[in-house]
Amino acid sequence: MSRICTIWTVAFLASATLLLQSSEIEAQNPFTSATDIADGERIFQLDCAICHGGDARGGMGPDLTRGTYRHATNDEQLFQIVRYGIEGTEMPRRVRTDPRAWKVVAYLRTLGGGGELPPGDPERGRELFFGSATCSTCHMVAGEGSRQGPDLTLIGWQRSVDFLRQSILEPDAELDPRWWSAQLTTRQGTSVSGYLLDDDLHAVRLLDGSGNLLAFRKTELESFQPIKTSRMPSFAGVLSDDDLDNVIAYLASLRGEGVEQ
Amino acid sequence: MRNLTALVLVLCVACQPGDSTPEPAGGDPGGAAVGPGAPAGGIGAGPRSVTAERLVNAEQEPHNWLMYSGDYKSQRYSTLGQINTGNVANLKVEWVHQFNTLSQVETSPVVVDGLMFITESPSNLIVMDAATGRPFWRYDHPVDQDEIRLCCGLNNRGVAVLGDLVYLGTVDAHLLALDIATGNVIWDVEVERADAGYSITSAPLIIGDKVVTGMAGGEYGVRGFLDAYDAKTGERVWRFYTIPGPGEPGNETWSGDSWRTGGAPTWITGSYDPDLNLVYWGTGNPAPDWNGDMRLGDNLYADAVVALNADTGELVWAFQFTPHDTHDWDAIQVPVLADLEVNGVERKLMLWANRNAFYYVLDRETGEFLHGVPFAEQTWAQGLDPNGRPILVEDMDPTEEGVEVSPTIGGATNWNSPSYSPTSGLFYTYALDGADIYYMRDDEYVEGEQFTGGYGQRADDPENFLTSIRALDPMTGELVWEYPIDSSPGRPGVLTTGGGLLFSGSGDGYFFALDQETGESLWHLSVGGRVHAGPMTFSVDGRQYVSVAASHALFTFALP
Repeated sequence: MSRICTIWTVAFLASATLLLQSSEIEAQNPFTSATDIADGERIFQLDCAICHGGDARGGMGPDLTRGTYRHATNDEQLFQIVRYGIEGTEMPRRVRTDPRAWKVVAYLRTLGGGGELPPGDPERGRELFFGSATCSTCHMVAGEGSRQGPDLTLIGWQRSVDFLRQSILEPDAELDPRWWSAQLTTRQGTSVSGYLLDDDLHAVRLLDGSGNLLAFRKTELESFQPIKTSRMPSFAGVLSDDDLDNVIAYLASLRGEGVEQ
Repeated sequence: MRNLTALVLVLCVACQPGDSTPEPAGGDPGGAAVGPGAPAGGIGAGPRSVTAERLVNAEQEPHNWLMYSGDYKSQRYSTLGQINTGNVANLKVEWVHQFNTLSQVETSPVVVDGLMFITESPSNLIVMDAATGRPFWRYDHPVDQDEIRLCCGLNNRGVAVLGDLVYLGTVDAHLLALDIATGNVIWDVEVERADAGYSITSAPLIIGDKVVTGMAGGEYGVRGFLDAYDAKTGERVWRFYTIPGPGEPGNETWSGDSWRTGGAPTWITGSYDPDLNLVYWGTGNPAPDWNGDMRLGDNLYADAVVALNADTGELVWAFQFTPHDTHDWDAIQVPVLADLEVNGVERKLMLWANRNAFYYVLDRETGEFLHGVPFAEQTWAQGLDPNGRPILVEDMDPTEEGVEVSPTIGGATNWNSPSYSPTSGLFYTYALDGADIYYMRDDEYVEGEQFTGGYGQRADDPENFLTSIRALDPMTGELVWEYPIDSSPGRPGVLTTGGGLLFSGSGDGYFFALDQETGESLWHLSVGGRVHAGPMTFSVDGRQYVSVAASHALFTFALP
């Protein structure tokens, strides 16, 4: 029995390798079972957490829970990075074998969005998004809407259904610092507020409500106050349960379609 | 929602009197236009909406660098003169931006009212405060490495800006419009299939309400073209194929079906004459590069400059520098436009130092050849005939055994920007005197695979080649002065300014300033890696800066 298993495993890995060698067929992850994912999490803790954090939300290395990656658009590319590192960056070659790397990929894929299909009608959700729910007065999807809040074109890839629900009901619960804002006053007495795009040792940069990108040296500021709460109001009690499901169904369906023509 | 409303009101109060009210940019139903200048105390400023009119009159706002070559004439010249021959010796590094890549950086920044736009390999975009080099946001374009086909590296040279959008071409042959304030992708079109050999490495050019982009792929047997897209929607308005199809004039210059895979890409940004409404663009090598037997004929319009009606993309005239090229001498140079006197009459001219080692003066209204002489070492032509056609030296085509020819495959110059200075009245170019051995081999076109028909190798140690910055009389092409630089590989562009200065760099990692009248060295700094991009200049709050990419960093200089 064990020998059969071994042969099967070898054949399976060989086929996976063949797939990898083909430029026409994207390699599928051969290790996606619950056990593989648990293994992947364990390997992640050993090899990856030192830079990416125990919860993969980032440390020295980037946050890996967003569901999109700067250097990978599919599982095969993610595998290559986990297995071999990224030349020219601090990302080293660290995970030792192909199966271990695939298991880490399987684990990472559970962290961002997920392809869950929530209850609700996406089409009705779209009508609400651009209509009475007023989402598009701040958010953009595929170039349509406003720039005041996060662009949600890819949100179905990036976030789980539970995360989406929480974001709508409790906007402050998991607020990305990109959406912090700030209030500042210059030494000349001018008050400015806007989204806090970056706050470094010597300077701050804001996006104001008119769409201006503004930069200030800190020596020129009388006061500077970061605001680490969301501008978005809670929609708890504002949307009916059905409408909330519909909006979430629409958001979960957003995978980048529409921008590319 | 209430908070947001309050925020906008506060900001409107904070806007300074005298700020011009921004024109709302179309196609942005919810967002505000990119607005007026910074409130008092700000060191940067959001760009007022860049209009087509501002681009036409770019010379009138020298504090900005509104497009790849500065303005539509593409002289890479700025009237800014705060940094000048008298004080450039005091020039210091103001800030450095390091790129997160080991690929060669070729970006030429665009600056609009204190905002700087730079690109990073493979196709990423960074928007930053031009005075401090600190970023506002970045866009990382996802690239499937298996899909792309690039002969010569994961390069990008810059962007174009119109309204509240910034336009980016990508190595996977897409063209994107992004919101300047946030980086949101507003539209994204596939210009052509990347896996068939198409890519974009050059900056787009805005003309009116259109985004014009070239493409690369001359080593993959593509059929070259120049495209124009509606700037608001991304819909294609016109496409001009640089190789005429059956029934079109010029198709007969390709034997058999060779026109289908004949190359002639358009991989460096062109120029525009608003009065003539002509867009000028250089075209690259015919494919396969080194086996001319597979494509008998002149191979129009490879290695040429084409002049197109900017509204329709229709060909108005073309001039082919290197008919039936077998040496890979792309006419991928920035067309420099200047209005100069010819026999006492001012004429609209185009000045062109070509990869084939000849310098050309053309009438840009008609395409008439006016003058041409070698500006660098060459052994392939006895000269040019009265129509500008080369008079060939025999037996200079590649063979299986190899033939030594000057200039090199990389050419006497290449894509790196030349400059014309109205201050000195001189034309400036990088120039290389060298030779390669050119080999031909059989080849077969397979979609997505290299289709070059040969190769080349150095005839001598490059250390024995002479590389220099050359100043030419723009009308005669005669050498006025030259400044030798190291022959290490590098493609430095040239910038000239109203301060009497010429800025350029070298392959061994120096950035320097010369007196543009004499070539005298006035200042240099080791930037630690090869200069492989075009310098540019701008000012913020009355202070002039000079920027250049070198190796894997962007350096910005200013007076203390």
